[in-house]
Amino acid sequence: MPDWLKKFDVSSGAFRIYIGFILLMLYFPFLIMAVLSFQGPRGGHTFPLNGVSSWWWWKLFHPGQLTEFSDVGEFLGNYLGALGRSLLLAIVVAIISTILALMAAHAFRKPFRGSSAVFYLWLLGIIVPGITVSLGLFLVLNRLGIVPNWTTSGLGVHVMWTLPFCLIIFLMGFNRFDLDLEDAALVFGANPLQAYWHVTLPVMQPFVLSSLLFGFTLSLDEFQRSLLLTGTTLDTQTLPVMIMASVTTRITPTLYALGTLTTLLSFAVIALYIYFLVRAERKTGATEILAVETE
Amino acid sequence: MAQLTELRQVGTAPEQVEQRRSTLSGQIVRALRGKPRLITGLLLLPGTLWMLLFVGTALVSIVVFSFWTSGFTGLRPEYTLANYETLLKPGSSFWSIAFWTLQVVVMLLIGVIVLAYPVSYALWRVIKSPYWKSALLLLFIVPFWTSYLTRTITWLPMFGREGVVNQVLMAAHLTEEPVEFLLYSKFAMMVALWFLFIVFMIGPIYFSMQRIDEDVMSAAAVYGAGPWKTFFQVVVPLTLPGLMAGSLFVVVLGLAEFFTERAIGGAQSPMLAGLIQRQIDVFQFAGAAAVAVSLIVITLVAVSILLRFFDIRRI
Repeated sequence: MPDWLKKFDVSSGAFRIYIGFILLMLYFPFLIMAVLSFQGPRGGHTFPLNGVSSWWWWKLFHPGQLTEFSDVGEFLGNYLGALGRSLLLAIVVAIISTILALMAAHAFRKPFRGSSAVFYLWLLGIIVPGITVSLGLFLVLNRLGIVPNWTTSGLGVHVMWTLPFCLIIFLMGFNRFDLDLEDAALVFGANPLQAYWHVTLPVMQPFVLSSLLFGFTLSLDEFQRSLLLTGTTLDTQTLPVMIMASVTTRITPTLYALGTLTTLLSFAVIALYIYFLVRAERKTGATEILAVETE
Repeated sequence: MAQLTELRQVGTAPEQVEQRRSTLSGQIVRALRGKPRLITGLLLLPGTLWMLLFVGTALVSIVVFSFWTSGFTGLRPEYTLANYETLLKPGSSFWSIAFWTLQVVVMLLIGVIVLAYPVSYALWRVIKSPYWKSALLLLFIVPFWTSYLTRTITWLPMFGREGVVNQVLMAAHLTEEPVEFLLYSKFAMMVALWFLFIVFMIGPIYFSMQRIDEDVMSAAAVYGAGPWKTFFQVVVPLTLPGLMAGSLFVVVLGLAEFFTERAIGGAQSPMLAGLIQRQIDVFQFAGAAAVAVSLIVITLVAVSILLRFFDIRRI
């Protein structure tokens, strides 16, 4: 390494301090939210702390008793019910979009006529601003006399939003994929589907996991597209749509308790993803060694 | 490997094995053999139909409805240009809101790049240990997978007269009185947006830096380029794909943004998506559709400019 290139590897503390500052700005707000969720019963959604209590957490977990214990103007939606619906929807959306995107990514491996037209159609799912999709489909359903629901129109726009992300993940995967592996399986007498099941899919496993994670997390957080499409009552709304509705009323620390809960949930899901990813990569490593030996 | 492929072309072993099989998978394989276009079509069909049904319908309907008339009971199919005339006439609030939207997105993009680039650079060249590299990278990516809504809400207690930022400033004796522009304002919204969107930029820039060959850096040195020259003429151009991929995220999601403005910005200065939401709230669906069409057009123009700089299919 030439001398000046070493200069390029700045060892100065300035960069480290800067990284620390950005990390602080990313994680400190979470901490503040968690602290404020233990606000006293008379406290508001900002500092100062007016005593310390688990009152707002209690409210979060007892939605049935909200009408008894709430002040005027407080939001009365059942957050936990909405969280349940959102989790279920996110799991279904992750599975559907991973399967459909993996299928399409296979088609994109070989060039075909109209491939970029199809690709850009898929990309529109990301590009078109969410609220315009919500408005357009809401008005169509309105004309047709169909009542929007989280299990129908909600599911539809969620998968539409996650599909392009999952497709891009799998395209990345196949860009790095060694075609010889599949060929080897075919030579040794596997039919294409067997080769796919026993060779291609295991090698693609990290990308399947990433696709599931993106499908799950993007769906769990989606509110722009589903704003008008999960139904009009609080019993059919997904969590983000309900949160969106609640910030237009008086904000209470219950929202912070909920945010803390869902953030911990997200961390748990990410930890699970990393665990499986590390396991999958160990296995994939083994497959690669095997392939080298075959050669 | 070459001999193996040859063996396959002779085509004895696999064929024979397969003919002996009457399994379901074998039958499917036989039915599709030699029909690559059919296979491609079948693989693409379900997802593409899904996208057509939802994006396609939404796009077509929003354009059609923008020419209809808002009535008391919903939209009436009476075609009119009135929605666009009200929207586009000189002096209408649409122009100032559209201009404000573009301002926010440009400020957002510049701010995010300025904030994110040193982070990626530090991860690339300052942090040496591979363990710390991946641990830090993970820490910068994790917020991307948490809820955007929740992350916006976490900024609520930061601003305001009693807000955390003001408290910190006063505790450090940097100011005696609470700073006014840190109340729920345009500035507060920008700060929140910068740190909400920075996670879209750090990863892409870092991954494109990682692909820069050390030899390229050395070559620049051999030919006498100093550190700054190398940075601006070698590193920055080579990270352009990553910059553009991150920018695509920031611009597309920034143009569609309406929650942060409502929650943090004090709901005083809507962007285009916020204008749509406000019109929906008062049942002006035809007017909202006209704004939606203009927002879609702006987004498509911005995206087509960004996609000129890199091929999203080759990431």
